[in-house]
Amino acid sequence: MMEGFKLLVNTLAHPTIMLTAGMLVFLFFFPPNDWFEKWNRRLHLNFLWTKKGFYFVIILMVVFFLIGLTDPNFSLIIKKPDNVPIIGLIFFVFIFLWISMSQALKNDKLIDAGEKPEEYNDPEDKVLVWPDLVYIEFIALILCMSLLLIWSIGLDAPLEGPANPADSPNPSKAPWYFLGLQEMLVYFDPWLAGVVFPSLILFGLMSIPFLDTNPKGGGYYSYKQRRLAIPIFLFGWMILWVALIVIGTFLRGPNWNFFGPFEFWDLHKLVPLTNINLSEIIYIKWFSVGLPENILVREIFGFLIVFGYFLLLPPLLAKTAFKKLHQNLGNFKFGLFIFLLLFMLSLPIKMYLRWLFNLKYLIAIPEFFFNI
Amino acid sequence: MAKQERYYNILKLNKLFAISSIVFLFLLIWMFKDDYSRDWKGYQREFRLLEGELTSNFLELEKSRITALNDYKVAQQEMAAAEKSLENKRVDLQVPQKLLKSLKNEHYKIEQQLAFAKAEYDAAKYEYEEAVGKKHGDVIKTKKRLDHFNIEVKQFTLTLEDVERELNQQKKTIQDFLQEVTGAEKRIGEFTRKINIYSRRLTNIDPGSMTVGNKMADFIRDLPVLDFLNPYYKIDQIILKDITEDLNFTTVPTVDRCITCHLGIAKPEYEDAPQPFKTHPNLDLYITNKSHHPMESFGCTSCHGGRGRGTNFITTAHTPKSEEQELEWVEKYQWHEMHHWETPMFPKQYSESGCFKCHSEEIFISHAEKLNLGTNLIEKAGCFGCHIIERYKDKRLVGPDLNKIPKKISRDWTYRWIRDPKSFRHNTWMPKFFGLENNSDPESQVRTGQEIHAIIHYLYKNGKDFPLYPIPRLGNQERGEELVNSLGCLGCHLIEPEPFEETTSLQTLRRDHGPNLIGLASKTTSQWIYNWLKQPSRYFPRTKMPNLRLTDEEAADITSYLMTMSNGEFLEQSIPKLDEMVIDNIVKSFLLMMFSDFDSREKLKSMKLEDKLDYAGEKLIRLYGCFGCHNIPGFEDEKPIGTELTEEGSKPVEKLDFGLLDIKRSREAWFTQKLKHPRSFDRDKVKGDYEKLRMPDFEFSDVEVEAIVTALQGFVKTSYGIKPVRSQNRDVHMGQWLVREYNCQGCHIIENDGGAIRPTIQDWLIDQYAFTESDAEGMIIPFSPPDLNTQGDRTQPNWLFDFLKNPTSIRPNLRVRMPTFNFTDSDWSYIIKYFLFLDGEVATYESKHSVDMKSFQYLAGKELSELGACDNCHFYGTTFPKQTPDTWAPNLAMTKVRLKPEWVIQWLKNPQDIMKGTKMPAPYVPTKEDLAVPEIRESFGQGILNLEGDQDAMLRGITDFMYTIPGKTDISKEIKDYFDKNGYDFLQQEEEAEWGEWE
Repeated sequence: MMEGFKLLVNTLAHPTIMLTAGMLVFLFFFPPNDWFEKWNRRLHLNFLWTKKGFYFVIILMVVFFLIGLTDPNFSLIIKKPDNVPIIGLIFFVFIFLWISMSQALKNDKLIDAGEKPEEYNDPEDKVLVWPDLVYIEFIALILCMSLLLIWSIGLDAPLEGPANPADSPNPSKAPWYFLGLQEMLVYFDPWLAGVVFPSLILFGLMSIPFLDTNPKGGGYYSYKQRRLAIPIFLFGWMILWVALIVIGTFLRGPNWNFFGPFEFWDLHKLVPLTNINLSEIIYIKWFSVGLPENILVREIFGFLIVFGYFLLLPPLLAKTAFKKLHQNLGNFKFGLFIFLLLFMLSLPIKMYLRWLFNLKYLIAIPEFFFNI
Repeated sequence: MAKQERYYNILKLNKLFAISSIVFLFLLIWMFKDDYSRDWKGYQREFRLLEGELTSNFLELEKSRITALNDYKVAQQEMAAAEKSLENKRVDLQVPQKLLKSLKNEHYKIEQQLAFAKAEYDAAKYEYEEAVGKKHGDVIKTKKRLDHFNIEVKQFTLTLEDVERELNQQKKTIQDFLQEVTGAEKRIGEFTRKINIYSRRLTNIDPGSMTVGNKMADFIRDLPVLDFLNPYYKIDQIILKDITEDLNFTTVPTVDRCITCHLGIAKPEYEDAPQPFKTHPNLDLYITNKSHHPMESFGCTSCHGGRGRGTNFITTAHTPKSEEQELEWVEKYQWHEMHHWETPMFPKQYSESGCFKCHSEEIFISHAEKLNLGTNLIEKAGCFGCHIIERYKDKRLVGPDLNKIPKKISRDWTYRWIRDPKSFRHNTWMPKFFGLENNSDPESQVRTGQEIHAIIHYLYKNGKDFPLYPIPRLGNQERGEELVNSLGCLGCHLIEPEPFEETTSLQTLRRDHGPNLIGLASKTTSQWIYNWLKQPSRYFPRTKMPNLRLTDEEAADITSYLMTMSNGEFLEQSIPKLDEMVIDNIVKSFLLMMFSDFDSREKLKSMKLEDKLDYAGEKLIRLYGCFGCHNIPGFEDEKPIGTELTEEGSKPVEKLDFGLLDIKRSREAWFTQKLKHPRSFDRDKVKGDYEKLRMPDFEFSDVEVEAIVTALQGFVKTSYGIKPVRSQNRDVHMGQWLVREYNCQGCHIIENDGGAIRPTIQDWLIDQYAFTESDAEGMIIPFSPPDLNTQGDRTQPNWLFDFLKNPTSIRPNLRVRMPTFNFTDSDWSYIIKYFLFLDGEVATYESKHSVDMKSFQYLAGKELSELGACDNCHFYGTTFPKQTPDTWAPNLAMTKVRLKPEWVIQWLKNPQDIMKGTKMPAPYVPTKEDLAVPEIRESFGQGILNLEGDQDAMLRGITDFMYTIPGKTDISKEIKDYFDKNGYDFLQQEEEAEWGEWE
């Protein structure tokens, strides 16, 4: 029974399954359009944002970790002082998400009924800095200090041995907040995963106030009024960042291989890793001719796909799915928005290309260290 | 005042604030407690109790000891009497005491005045100098001032002297009064010195012996925060600037805090204390200041490994010695391995590994028995043939030369030998390659059966010719046996047909130096043995077997004896027929490593059977690394096949492939497994025929494995700046290496170790000459090869060099024969330098000993040697001794070229001191007292009488005389002729009484 459960979890934890399921389920929980919202309502998915739903998820997570403690392999991972913040992160991400979503749904109901959202305050209404604000801040400070004290007494600092060039730790993990980036490195060339993506993430976050011209939903929680902004942000945050951190922490073992949470981290585990480039697929697998000498000819298909993705898709989408948005934003803002969105989506796309076709690079020009 | 509006309920917030503050306070206290409760403090508290207990025990013991002493009682009575008499003089004493007090006051006052006056004088001097030199100020005025203070200083100085004189006078008067009392006090103090030490120590540690004030201080000094000043409980550490820890990018000084808990480590009185307080087991060699490794210079972790900066049981990287201990530790200390620490403490049984960090250049490290055994085993087994080990670079291969093998042994014998060497010789060093756990399945058996054919094919095809000279005459096997037993063959060889139980030690390895001489009739021809014995280096240029300078007759006799032993069982082992199909597969496997499948097939088709065997043979020899131990034609410059082991002890555990075995993840566990079951890491692995592990099985015993692991653990990267003297001297190192490699200690005792041949001498005397066991025991030393203790002091280097190059007879009745070694001049120089080093000698060239033949000293020597009848036993050139050969001793005419005079004097003083068990008696040298007796005096000549009992001069005289004895120095031929004529029958034991003369 227990073994079966562990096997099931180990299987489900595989990123192909977990991320696919996660992305699918995501759209139903955070419906971006009417169709998804219909199913959302039909499946009563908003149950999650009720108090019962909250307890349900929290208990589920606690039980999972308690079971995990009984497993020698998983308990090693979760008891590691390095990983304690990640377990906290899992809980806190859910708790804060729950607070905002439950509040948003409440407000949606109020707004539907023609009332004001809960956060609406009478301009006459006021809260004093002293004692109301300062006092609770002070109490919060003491409680935080207490938590830190308990933490520092309970767990020693996770120090490692002196750095040794002849003996690097295996797995070599980045600090937890960079594990998402490290995960990207599996699929992208370092210049993309290490330079372009992080820059674009910063750039994208900075441009939100510029792109998001929706006047509604300011100062109060609401889902309905921000049905596009919330899912896009949460997709990037939950799936492409938090989930990757969780994967990097719990599921990446020696040699950066995948291990289920209840699997032993065997140093010698081998998985087949034979990836090939798009040019090889086309010229060798399909056409059965050798690779052309000329680099441009060789990589032409990759270029076509990448250019097509970034140049053809935006006008196409402007005419179809994002017609209204295009009209609202105008060409420039829409162009920027769609560029950022496509970049974000290129990460899961590349992951799938890897999993499905063992695709290494779309464009591979190792001669100039240029790979996409 | 109107009630203020509040967003929150303030009362509730107050409560919340109160609760969270109390929680925070509690946590703060908890934090302090957690921070201050350290394991080492517990140990220190425990030790304090132990120390108190021990000290008060000692105190009580000492008290009862001295109270029982009569002298102490007398001293106490004296004291009482003295105090009583002082009591009567009390009034008289008061006068000088009062005077002394006022004088002291006076003295103090004047001293002050003088100091002031001096200061003023110095200032005045400065002003005057300024005025004269730089024209600042009034010369006359300042001069006046200077003079004034000058006079003042002089006045005060005089007064002070007066007061001082008077003061001393009074002091003396008082002292006289007190004289008796102070004398008695001093006498008592002599007895109570130790008691005072103990009580003073007790007042520091035992709260019961403290004053109230001290008790409070003792409590306060260890309170949190205040303990930064001078706590009782504190971390003790040794900082070693010369011994650094390598942190890869930088080095830091070693800091060892071990003594924080191991508090009794340097104190001998804690021998029976529980851990961690126990005394170090070897204080003579370690820890103490008079030892070679004082704690202040070497710390602890430089030898033991571990993490010196740690202060609890786990962070110090203690390592359990066994699984039982591990379980015990887990229960007692929640022990777990210290992660990320590459040099955990050596488990107790491997602690000698640490010696190598400094003593790595030494061949023999005294007191490190296990480590020595380990390195010796590595040398014997020839590990460095396949594994590069820096310290064994360019050493000769350990196995026999196979260049001329066709003339020595048959193909069939070789086949059986390669397949299972131990079935021929139960204690051979040749390991087993086949029939092991990863090549024992039926398929592999068939394959390896054919592989051996291919290897043999290669060896015999490429074998070189070796002309064998015929044996000139028929040997006598009985005489041969006697020769083998007496000439010294048994210093290196065993003749043990059956396996026997024996714990391996350096000594047993010495007799295992050459092969066990069994079953030779089944192995080779008598002709080959004869030729080998006559000149081993002709067959095998780099052999370790020396030339015993055997005559044709002797060689023939020994050959006949060796040929009496055969091994029929071995010859009956069946040999599979050559199977071309299997050979094809083998050849193809090797071809496929370099060529494509098609090319391989084509190549195979074009090969004849002969070619295939050639090809496979060469590949297989290369695969199994046979050339690591044997000289094989065509493999002269081949690289070794194994992993380099130079720094194996520093290899991270992660780099060791444990395969699918479930054993402890530690270096020592891996090494042990590898040595015991070399192929076991292949277990359950899917591997091609020629990807499998290849290390052969030496069938090491547990003792051997532990010793080798000790050595391997010692092969580490860390080498400290400190180098022991012997390690610094390359020549000495080389000499020591040659002594080890050529097994000098098989016959001789060097550095108090060796002489492995000795028990066989006893057996020989019993078997051959019917000695009783106890008689034979007494004869072991005179009939064994000499003890080379003090060799460096003893012989002149020039003579020694000549002797070693061309040995001559020294002890005339000795049967054992010093062989001739095939050494170069520099080899011999190394060995001589090594001997000189051992005795602290440096000079290689020495002037001749000059003798004044007119002196009384010389005369006395001559007289004494006549009195002592040296010529009873000693040769004087070609003049034979007066007594029978059983007492014969070295030729004294040789002394002048052979011995160093300083050594001869020492030797004459007491020969037993230098060579225990020697038959040489110390010559009688009369003392002054002897000479005072007229009857005795009469018996001495002028020379002795003139020295007036100066024994040293007389010994010098004997020495001088010896250096003037004329005659031939090398009398080997004369002696040989004598024994050729008369034989050794003088040793024959018939009548017990004959030996009575000896005593």
